[in-house]
Amino acid sequence: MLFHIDDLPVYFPYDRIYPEQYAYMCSLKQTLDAQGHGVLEMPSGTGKTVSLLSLIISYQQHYPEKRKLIYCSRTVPEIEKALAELKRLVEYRKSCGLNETILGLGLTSRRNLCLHPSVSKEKKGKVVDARCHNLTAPWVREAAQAGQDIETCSFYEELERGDVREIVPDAIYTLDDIKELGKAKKTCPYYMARRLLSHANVIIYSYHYMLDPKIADLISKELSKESIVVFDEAHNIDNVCIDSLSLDIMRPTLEASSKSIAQLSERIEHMKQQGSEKLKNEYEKLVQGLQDTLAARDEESIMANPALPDDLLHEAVPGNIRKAEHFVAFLKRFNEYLKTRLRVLNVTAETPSSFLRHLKEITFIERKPLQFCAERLSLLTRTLELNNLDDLASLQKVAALATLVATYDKGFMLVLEPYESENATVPNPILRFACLDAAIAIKPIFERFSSVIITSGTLSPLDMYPKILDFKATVQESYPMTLTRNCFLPMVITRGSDQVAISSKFEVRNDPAVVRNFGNILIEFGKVVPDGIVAFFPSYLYMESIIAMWHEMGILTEAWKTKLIFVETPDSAETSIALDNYRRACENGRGAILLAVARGKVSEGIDFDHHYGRAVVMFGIPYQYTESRILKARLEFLRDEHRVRENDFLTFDALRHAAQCLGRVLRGKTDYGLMVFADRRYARQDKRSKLPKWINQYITDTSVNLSTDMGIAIAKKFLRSMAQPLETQAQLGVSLWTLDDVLARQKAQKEKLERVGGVHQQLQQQYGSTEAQRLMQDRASGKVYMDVD
Amino acid sequence: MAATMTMNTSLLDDDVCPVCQTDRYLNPQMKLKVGPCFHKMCENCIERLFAHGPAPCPTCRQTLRKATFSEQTFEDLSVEKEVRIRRQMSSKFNKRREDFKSLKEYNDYLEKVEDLTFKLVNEIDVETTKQEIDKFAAENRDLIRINADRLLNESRMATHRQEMLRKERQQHREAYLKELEAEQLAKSEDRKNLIQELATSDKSAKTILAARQAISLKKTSMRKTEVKLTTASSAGSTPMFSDSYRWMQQNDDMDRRQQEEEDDQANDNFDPVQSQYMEVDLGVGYVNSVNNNKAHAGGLVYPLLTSSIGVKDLYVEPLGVGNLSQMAKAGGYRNAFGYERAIEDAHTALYLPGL
Repeated sequence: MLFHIDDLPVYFPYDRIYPEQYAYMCSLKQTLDAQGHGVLEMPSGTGKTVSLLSLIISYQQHYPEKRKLIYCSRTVPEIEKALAELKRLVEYRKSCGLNETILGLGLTSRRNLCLHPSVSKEKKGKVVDARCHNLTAPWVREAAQAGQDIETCSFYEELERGDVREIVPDAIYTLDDIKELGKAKKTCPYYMARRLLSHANVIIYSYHYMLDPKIADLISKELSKESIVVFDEAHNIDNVCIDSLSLDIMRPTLEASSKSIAQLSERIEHMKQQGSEKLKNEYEKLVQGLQDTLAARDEESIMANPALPDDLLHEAVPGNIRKAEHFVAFLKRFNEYLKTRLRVLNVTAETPSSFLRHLKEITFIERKPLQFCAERLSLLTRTLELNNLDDLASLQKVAALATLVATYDKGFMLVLEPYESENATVPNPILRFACLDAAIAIKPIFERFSSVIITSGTLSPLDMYPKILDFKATVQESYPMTLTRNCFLPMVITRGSDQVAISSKFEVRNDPAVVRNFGNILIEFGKVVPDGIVAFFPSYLYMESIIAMWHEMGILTEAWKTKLIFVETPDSAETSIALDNYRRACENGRGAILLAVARGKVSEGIDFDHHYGRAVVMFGIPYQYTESRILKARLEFLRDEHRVRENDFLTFDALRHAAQCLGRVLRGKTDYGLMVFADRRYARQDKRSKLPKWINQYITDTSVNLSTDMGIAIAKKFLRSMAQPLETQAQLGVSLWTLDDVLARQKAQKEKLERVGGVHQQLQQQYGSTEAQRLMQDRASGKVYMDVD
Repeated sequence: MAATMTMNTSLLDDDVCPVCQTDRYLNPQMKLKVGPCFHKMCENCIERLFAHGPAPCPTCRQTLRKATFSEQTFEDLSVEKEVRIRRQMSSKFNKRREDFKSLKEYNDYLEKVEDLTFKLVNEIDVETTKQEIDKFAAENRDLIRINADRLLNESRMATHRQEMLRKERQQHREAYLKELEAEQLAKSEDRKNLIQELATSDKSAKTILAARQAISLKKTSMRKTEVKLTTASSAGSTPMFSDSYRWMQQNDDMDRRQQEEEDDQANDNFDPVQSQYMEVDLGVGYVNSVNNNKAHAGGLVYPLLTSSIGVKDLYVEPLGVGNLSQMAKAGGYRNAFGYERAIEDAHTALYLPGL
């Protein structure tokens, strides 16, 4: 359907639209008009992606700036879904008679795109990258062109021969499409996609290409400032930011990098003996300054570097690491230093500056050369023409640590943990370089791009994200869900049938009464709920102990009578088998229970729509492990820097994960399901207020403080009413709009605006302008109820 | 700090003393030490071999003493050696960026130093290199000394800064905990009052609860604005640390000997705010620092001698002026007494070892 928002014609590829989709588009347009950032929360399963795409594409094509859309999502399946949606949209626009050229494509790793007969057989992403590099590095290709017998990649060579723009006509390419195209033209799809990025109108790729400074520098550097950046499923964005700047160094890492250093120096010796000019050339270049050498950097440099601040790039590499052999000795010293640190057998936590001081005292390494470490290493590997870069991975990690620790002073912490767990006796030391401030990684993005949209199904409380990511949002909106029938029922079960309060609080979590009551919830719901039930626990550890206790109590045998039970494990292969079998059990009508973990794989990105999930039970509140030192440091940082209280953040984090788990059950308005919060603490206002608006709106007073038997009675009633056939006609006009409804709505809004304007004028005539303004404010705030006309 | 706490058992398990072939299985307390020739030996062997003074190293025949052995910091002995060489080098080659006109010159200098170190470490042309180093040291003697002083000052400053930061963090934490506690207390108090009111008053429960709710809402909004206010004010005003920090920067350079004297006076808690400074560099901020000192030194300010570079001629009224002199007189002293004391103080300085 085609409708207008203000003066913008919006093409929407379906005949009907949800009211919240329309509202969402309106806010989105506001954000884009204001060239600001937005935080938008919309219920899961109400067509967020399609509303986003159709509005932004319409916006892009309507206005002459043609702002590029960069859509970031989390997983490959989500990227593919978005691409398919985009393709459908563009086809619809074509069928409407629009004559436009839109180039849209997705980018994913080499592992998913590679066509090379042997390289594509590799399973690990790192190995594929390294082998690809071995075949496509400039010196390899030069040597091959000079007639030496060296293997190169024919797909890449083909790409080098022609112009990408000529090979690829403007269209929308899903990941499969671009692979097919590559096959047909015998060209490398990965590099094709990468070179097209600067020409494309729409780019869809993973968060990491944008957020991880190491990769972003390579991939996303040339995107224009006007681009619209969207982070979908962004409820975890702060953790992604933090992970992208954190590093863990362990003993094996250092051993491996020692080896790599030895290799490097051997290679340098070798080159010197051969009298190669290359080292000398490199040295000459470095004397002149880093910038010229950077200019030479292109897509072939797959050595990733953490962000160097721009002003450093204009500086010369410090003299003491200019020569290759000096630099290698430098790396060796740093590496040995880290080894001595790992020998310490008590927990230490220190700031980067105190780390640097100690480093200087012991090894006489200054801050400056340390900063250039990663950059210098990638230059050296290029000069030495090294292949098999995956061998160097550990050394790169050490160099990245060097650069990061010397560059950032605030918002980071070094924590050394000698033992893996609290009661381990064999030391397995690990040096964690932890980023505490999510704002650091995402800051360049907010600064560079004029519009950044953060959206997800669960972003409540909305003001937390601007705080922890340190930006100003022009539009902050959460949309309720409009439903003709209440197709999901959230309920809070606070006590078992025996009236014992249930909670996953540390003091009572292993209390047999609590565990039995948790078990009874599972058994009882297993009896009344058809098809699939998903139950989430706060952690693997807790899940294991509870399952063991249930086994002893005979609860599992009881639950088996009605449904099969599957369990998620930390191993992803095992989990996917469990998921497959769970689906099979649901499909053939047997019904099943899946026991999963909040923050686990199942809770993120796997949908339990329709019969795959008729009820979700959240046992307890999924708080983080609060004894973790890094978490403590982060909490302290948030408190000092962003004025976020420890408890506020912990509750916020726990409830966004709870909401994320429970949101899995509902994927669309024809779906229905139960959401069970099984913990006494959910009944409190401060917990409930942090749930997304669309869930909160359906939590009624009668369902906040239930015992198991009461809950079962309500659930039975709910399921019976949901089992009645649903007619589309009934939804029309309420939770589903046709074009007429949209127009009627716009008209009503316009009238209302005019009326308010008219009232204002009328008041102005009566009382004069300032008084009128005050009266209008009163009216808006609801102080005055009487109507003038 | 951390390296001194290292533990050798876990990772150097398979060590064997090259002299007596003892390993950790036979002697769990075995400690390996390294001599100046970078050969390892266990403590027992050191005791045995060097009990009667200097003796040759069993491996390389170099004459060694017991005192020259030290514990190994690095696993890799070549790094251990390199670091020792670097320690010596850094005591001589300590020029800074400020001592050069351009960055390029500085980088060239850095490279030269690195070259020399590299030669020493890998034992290439040791003699000529050593000569070169000595030549450099002789040429730049003054600058080296000044830079050493600066370095010392800076490192103290950094320690101090760290300490201050730690204290500040702790204060933040305590304040936060206190705030939490107060809140908790207020809450429980509120609850008690509510129950009290419900029990005693004859109003209906509904009205009481409604009134309570209104009050608590008001309170939370007040607290929010309070938090906002404190954030704003903390952003505006400078906290205690940064205040003193600015002052410290002005006094960044201090003579080492001055500090040694102070150490003699058993002044073991170093605090730059309390102690007095001598200027190495004739930079800005001298007068400023004196004025600042006045507050700490109780009104008696000594004209300070500068180091060998020059003398800063500055006379400060010994008893201060205006109200300060009045303050001095308040104890019952005559004005002249102050002058006498100042002269005395000036003379005491003469008996100190020459600068």
